[in-house]
Amino acid sequence: MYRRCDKLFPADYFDIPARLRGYMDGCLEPLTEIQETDNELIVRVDMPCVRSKDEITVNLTEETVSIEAKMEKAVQYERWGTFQRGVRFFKYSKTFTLPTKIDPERAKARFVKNVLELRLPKKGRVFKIEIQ
Amino acid sequence: MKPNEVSIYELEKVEGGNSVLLCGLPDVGLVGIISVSHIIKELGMKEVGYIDSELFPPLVVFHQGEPTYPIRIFRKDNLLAVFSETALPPESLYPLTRLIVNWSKEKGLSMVVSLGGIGVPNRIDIDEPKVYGASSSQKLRDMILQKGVSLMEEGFLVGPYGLIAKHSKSLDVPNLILLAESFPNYPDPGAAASALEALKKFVPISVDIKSLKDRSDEIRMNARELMRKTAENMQRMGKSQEYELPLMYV
Repeated sequence: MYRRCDKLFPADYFDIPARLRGYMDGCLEPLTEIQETDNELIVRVDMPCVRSKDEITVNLTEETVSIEAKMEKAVQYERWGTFQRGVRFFKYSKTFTLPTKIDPERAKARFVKNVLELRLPKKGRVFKIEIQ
Repeated sequence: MKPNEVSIYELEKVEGGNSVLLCGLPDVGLVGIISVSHIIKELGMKEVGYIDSELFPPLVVFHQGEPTYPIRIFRKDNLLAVFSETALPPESLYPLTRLIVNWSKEKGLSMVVSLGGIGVPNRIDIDEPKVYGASSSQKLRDMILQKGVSLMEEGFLVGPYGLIAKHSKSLDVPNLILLAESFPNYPDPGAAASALEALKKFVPISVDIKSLKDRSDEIRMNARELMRKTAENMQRMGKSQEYELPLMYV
């Protein structure tokens, strides 16, 4: 029976989109963009309602970034759709895999205009060669 | 309604006269959406029509319990505004923008204003986003310079406002484009505020911009999902071409 249902409906047919699953825990997934330069990855995360850098935790590995940030006050969408109504959000949370390995020890972060910016130097030595 | 056709429905007869049409369509930083929605709210503009098509996402928006069309037209005195509450698939943009410009021509509107953003990677370091102006008419380009707005001289403009400019040029409809430096993929009320400041130099509107800045966090929270979908569509329509250099005259 289940197998028949699986055939009739794709896996995500009734599924809640992955980014909305955290709603039940009061977590919002922040909007994020990654810019790649020759030497580094620049990650920018939009976090309205977070008052200061002290509310943000960033954990890095060579391949992943985990971010959590407490909002200044819980946010509730009074006039939103049936799914979200009544849910109170009090933090942002997001973990993602980076497109290339980075050196976490040389990473830098700043929080300006409610945007968290991470500058993540790429791992690996760069050799300058002489042109003959 | 025929498939692939976009239509305007007027809830009351819209007299064009000397009116100006403001366009708030989903694009970089949702600058147009944020600024036009602020104007609609501040001026108490009245809904006078809507735009519909089978090319748009199959949805309806509920407001105070009433289903409404996601792309609606508002009016107050000599000011008209078209405003979308949903992300627009790239395949709908050609017929939609052609319809907006044709309708503006038919109504004899004095100007179509596209309010938008231009993505800049260093937006985080910019306190007062600069606004660039562009136009399909020489008269408006002269006015852009007279008003102290920087003229966008070279570059690509991809998306709804690029198409409005193209159709406006073909139909000889005066089109003013005001683009504020913006976060490319985040809702940017600060950029919308700059775009509104620039708009005031061309269109006499009495809109409080401070209240827009004060509601920045709230707007950014509310516009998240629209921004996410708009960013996906911008990627599909090749928005990154705006960062490239046109090859003519190299």
